[in-house]
Amino acid sequence: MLGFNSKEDVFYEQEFKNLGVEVYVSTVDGSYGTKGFVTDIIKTLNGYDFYYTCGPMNMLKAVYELIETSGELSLEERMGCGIGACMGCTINTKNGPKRVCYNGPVFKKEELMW
Amino acid sequence: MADLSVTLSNIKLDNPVIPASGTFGYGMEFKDFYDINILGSFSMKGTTKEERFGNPTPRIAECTAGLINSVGLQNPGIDFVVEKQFPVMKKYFNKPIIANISGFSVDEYKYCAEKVDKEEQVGIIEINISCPNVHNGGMSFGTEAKSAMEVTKAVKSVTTKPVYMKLTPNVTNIVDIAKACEDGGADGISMINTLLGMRIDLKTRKPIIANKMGGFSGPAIFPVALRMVYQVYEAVKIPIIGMGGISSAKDVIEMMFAGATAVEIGSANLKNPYACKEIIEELPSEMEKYKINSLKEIIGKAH
Repeated sequence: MLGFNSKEDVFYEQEFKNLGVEVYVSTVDGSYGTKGFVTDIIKTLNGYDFYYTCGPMNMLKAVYELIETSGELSLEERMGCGIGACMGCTINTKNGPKRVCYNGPVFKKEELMW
Repeated sequence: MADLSVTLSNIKLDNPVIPASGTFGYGMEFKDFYDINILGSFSMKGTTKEERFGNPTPRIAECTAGLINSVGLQNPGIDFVVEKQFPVMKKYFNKPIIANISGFSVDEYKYCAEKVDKEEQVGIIEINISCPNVHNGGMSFGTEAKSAMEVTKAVKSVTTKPVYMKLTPNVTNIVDIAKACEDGGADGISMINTLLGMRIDLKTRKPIIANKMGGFSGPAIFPVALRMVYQVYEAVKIPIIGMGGISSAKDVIEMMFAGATAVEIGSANLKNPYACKEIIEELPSEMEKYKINSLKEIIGKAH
């Protein structure tokens, strides 16, 4: 599922299709694919076991709240060093403070405290 | 052969290059990039009595020639650091370290100082009275001569190792604070911490940093740091570890001419994890360029 603002922003649709997966596209202005957000597509689906997601934090949170199955989310934070030294990108998780750059950026849904 | 060695309070360093507190963790992450034993020493992440998560994110904002951070002293607490981190650190760093500690009360400073004073690995205790990112602590001790002296005296009363007071530039006259620390018995001065700064996100029309303000560091502040080191050098007799925007071997030399006996390098490590290694490697040729045989000989020679 790929979400964009508008038709001209769409990228990697063909590349994902080439991998042999079913690709759904949404655009906020409705100029291509489903009008709305990726969550609007997710609501129409039935039958999935797990999810992987990356993108803006607001989208990640919306997906996290919508989907009940387990999943993995690639988080975004402003980082100072990117190697785990400056503690700039720390989040609190159920397993204690974690550095997004070093311990992540992919976290299990169950770890997050959203 | 260029002589890079310097001496800080009877501790001989192979070279004056020391990664600054908060940009180097406890050395763990950098040891995977290079053998950190080439460093003069390193200043560990500022540690407090209690474990701290720090401030909410975003804690980082980019700036022209620098960055703002508002980490807020995230650390696992001094007991954990001494009991768990130090034994591990010993395996990858075999020189004396600089133990950077912070507190929210004079007693907390004393507690942490007493703890690290007992540790063989600690060469110098660096007292952070200058963190701009925590309320009711940190910087509030370092903005008045009286409280700076009070912390200095308190820490000195429970320690045997050299104590260096780390000063904030966010004051009317840093010289007065440095003198108060010297009068309180400090063995040296570390300066400067970050300058209080802010960025605003034009899309959200709000400050980028969750805490609104943070500490600005990076090459942009180098001339400010240099000027302050120059001023303090004229006013105190104790050694100065100079820091603030140093990002090249040339900057190191310049800072030493201003009066620094050694230097700490902060933000440069975040931009390039090899920064300190490269600076150490570049120092001999840079010294040759300016006809310097020994770094010791240039300390304060701009005066």
